[in-house]
Amino acid sequence: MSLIPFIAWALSVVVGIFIYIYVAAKIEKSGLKRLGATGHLFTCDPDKK
Amino acid sequence: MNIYLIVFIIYFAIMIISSIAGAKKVETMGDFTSGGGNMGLILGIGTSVATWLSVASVMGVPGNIYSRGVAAVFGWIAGWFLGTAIMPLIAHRVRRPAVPTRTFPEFIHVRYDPFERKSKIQIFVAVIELVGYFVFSFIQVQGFGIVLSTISGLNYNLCCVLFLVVLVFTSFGGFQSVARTDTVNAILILIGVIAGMVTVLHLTGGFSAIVDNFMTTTAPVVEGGEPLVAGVLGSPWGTFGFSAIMSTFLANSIGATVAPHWIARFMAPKNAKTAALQMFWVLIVLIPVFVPLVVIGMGGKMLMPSLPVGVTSDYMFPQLIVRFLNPVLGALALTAICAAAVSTANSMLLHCSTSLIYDIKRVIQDKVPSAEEDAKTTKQLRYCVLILGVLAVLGAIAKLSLLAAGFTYIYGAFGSTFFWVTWLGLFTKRMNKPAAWAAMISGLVSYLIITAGKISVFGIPTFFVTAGISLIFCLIFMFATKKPPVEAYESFTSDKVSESTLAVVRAIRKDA
Repeated sequence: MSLIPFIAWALSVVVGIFIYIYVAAKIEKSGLKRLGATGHLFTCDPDKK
Repeated sequence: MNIYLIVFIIYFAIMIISSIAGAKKVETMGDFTSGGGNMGLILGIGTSVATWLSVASVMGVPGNIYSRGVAAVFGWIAGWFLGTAIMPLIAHRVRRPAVPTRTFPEFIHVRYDPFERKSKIQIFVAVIELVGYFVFSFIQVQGFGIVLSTISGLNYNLCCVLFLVVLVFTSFGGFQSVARTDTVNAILILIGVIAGMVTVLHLTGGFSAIVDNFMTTTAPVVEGGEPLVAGVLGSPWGTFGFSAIMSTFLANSIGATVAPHWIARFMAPKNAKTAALQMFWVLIVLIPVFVPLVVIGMGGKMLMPSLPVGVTSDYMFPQLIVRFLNPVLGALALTAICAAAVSTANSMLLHCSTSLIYDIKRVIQDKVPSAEEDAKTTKQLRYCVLILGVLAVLGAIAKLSLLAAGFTYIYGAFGSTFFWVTWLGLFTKRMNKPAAWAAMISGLVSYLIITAGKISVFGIPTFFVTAGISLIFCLIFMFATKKPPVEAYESFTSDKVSESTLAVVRAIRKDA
């Protein structure tokens, strides 16, 4: 059975992880609480840190 | 009373309770249209997961795998996952402004027509959105009607009317209500599809047996039909062919990133990071939902080599439930399909309603902003949901299209129309109003001509062709006309904006 569809699926997940980290890092770099900067890549509530 | 009807009644009760909880949170028109721009991460994940999980995914995907092979995994599942993967980029920009817009047409108004009160471009986008989401809505009603009538033996039309009752309840409370019921629905879908997968694996003897059968079967999709070529279901492009499956993949991935209901999902979270993080988690949470759907689609071919005459592949999963699942597991799987239909249709109806009342009527009338006017608009939004729900049921009774294919047409049309106005609008300062008009009209017209005429342009995927035409017109107009004012792009491209930009956004929102 062809694995191409499943490889494309897995690659999409990997792409998503990289894109999220890029976006989160950019927000963290801004340091703005208004945008959700918390000091951690995977948290988004500045009031609960 | 059979167990399926009991399950439906319990499901109905759960929906009413969560709808009422959500409706109580609605205090302003902003709460109704976009959750007030204050939504937390968990609700954001729940509503986004449930939005992906429509009848096109829960019924259409196993049906397509069953009838056309693993290529459907590429066209639909990998496509939707890539779309979700890209979405944090857009989500960040859309939720970046301190005063976010409430709807997709309003975003287009701010970005391309900031000084116009009665914006024609906002109304045009709202009309496209209204038509597209109305089609979406009745596809969902149709899916629900098929399932409930197949399983319970009730009349199809009656099932569609039952759906209307649930639908109106869940969308009457606006975005807050939809988000809460979506989250409950997402959990029910997960439980239901896992129940379906466990049963299929048990009955077939495991995944190896499923794969072996899938690679060798020649059984026609429908009894008495043409036999399949052995191995075609396991080939990379299945019975679709490269161009068709690539078009589907692009429409479902890149096209989906600019679908207005997704842009609206990005306006609801409390900040830009939450908007991006919710899509990251959606990507992870969707994996345990789609793996069972693949197993169900492939395993279905072993349990039911061919479907009865008159039954399309969209019916495959419901047929499997009726013929092979024990009543308790079958009832859980039924709930998953109902939940998928409700979770998507209610948000689609909400979009139809906001397009008509918030983005068309409110803009044309251009009344002086006030709390009374907002309350009146919220009331009209609720009635509009009811009326459109009735019309969607009538549309569903007409049974116009195959489920997953119907979705792809709309995603393809949205992608062709809105791709460049969204991406270039969010990521470049030079994109302006004439270019936006040119991109939308050329993209939409070329998509309609190519799709309706079934035209093949050198075998190139349709989305490439229409997006390419749209880009050419967009670039010509962008560089042939003057730059947009700073108020048009500042709030999306900068973290700190001027007072004049804030004033423009507030005026367009008609903040009381």
